[in-house]
Amino acid sequence: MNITKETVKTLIDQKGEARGIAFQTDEKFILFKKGAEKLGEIESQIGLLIDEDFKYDKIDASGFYPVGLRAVSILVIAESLDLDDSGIKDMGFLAPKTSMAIRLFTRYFLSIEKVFEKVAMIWSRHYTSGTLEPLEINHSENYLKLKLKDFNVHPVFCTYLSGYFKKIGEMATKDKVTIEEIECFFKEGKDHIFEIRW
Amino acid sequence: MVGNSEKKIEILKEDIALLEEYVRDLFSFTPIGIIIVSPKGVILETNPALEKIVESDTYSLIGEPVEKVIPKDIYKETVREGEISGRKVILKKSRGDDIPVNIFSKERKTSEGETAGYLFALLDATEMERMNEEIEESKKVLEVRVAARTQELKEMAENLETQVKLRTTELEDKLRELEKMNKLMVGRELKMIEVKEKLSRAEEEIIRLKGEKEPAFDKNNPDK
Repeated sequence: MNITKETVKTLIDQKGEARGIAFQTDEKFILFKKGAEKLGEIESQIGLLIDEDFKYDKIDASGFYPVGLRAVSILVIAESLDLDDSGIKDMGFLAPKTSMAIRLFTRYFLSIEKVFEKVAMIWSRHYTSGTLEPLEINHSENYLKLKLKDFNVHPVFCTYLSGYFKKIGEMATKDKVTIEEIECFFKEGKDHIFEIRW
Repeated sequence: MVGNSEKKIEILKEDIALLEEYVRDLFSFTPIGIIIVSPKGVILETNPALEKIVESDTYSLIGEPVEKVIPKDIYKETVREGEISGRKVILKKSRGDDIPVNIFSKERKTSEGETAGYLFALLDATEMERMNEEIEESKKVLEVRVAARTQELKEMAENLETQVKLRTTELEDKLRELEKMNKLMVGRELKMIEVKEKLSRAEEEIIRLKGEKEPAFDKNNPDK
């Protein structure tokens, strides 16, 4: 395994928490892609890395867990399922399809503007650290920019969230969208800025 | 005070978890396919029954345009009218097969009166269609049997009528023969009566003639 216990400790020691619902999307992704056997294998791998039993179905959907543990979950899944950046992005893309939190915001999926207005609220339902802010929306050129501040847990989130925001954009516009992280904290940027075009 | 609030939050969280479990069980159990659609027309939620009806899975449906499952005109009518109650339509399964369903739909509104999306309920009508077809089939078979039996009865009646006619003719012939015989018998009887009368008259004549030739009988002198 490429992920070391030291890396995991650094991640788990980071400030901030992720809601249990986020882990549920990981569980559904594994089951969808590889089934129950693989799920058990991944749970064992995570358990070994964090030195305690780890079961996705024991996670409380409304509970709070170290944000670093979410990064560990994504990293172990990516390694176990042999996912490259495109595969990790796909995992993020599929997450809103099974996310309970997204369903709580269905009333805002009327237009991209509504979703744009509520992104901060949607983010706070998933993570206690970092803020997601609407930065710019351009109707004539059909694009919007989202700024993710103070959320620098691990670069894997940049890839994962690119897929996640892409799907949210598609659900809001009912159209195909493209996404690009035009500024990244891990690439000498101040924050993370995602540009969605439709 | 803080401890008390935390306890209340814990209780509320437990209540929400129980409620969520209850809704999930109900949502999973119902044999009616349910789709929750965003105000923009994107599928946000489906239940196992719906996935079974259209033979698809959550990942293939959620986040997709509602028209992937619901016919465009039905969706447009729901948006326009606010609801549809029990419309029979033919859907396409993911593999392209047709499936008859009864669709119900309703607009969801927020407490402020804004459209919060749409709900669609799909009732698999395959079984009902199959039963209807069976009834139709039975009806046709019954109609054929009734027609055959009617024909059979008609033929029997016709046959019977012919036989009755034949029998009547036979009886009429016999009757005529009897009448003829009767007439013959009666004629002969009359003739005999006539002959007897003639004979009687002839005997009387003979006696009378004999009386004229012999003297009248003297009872005081019978030898004379």
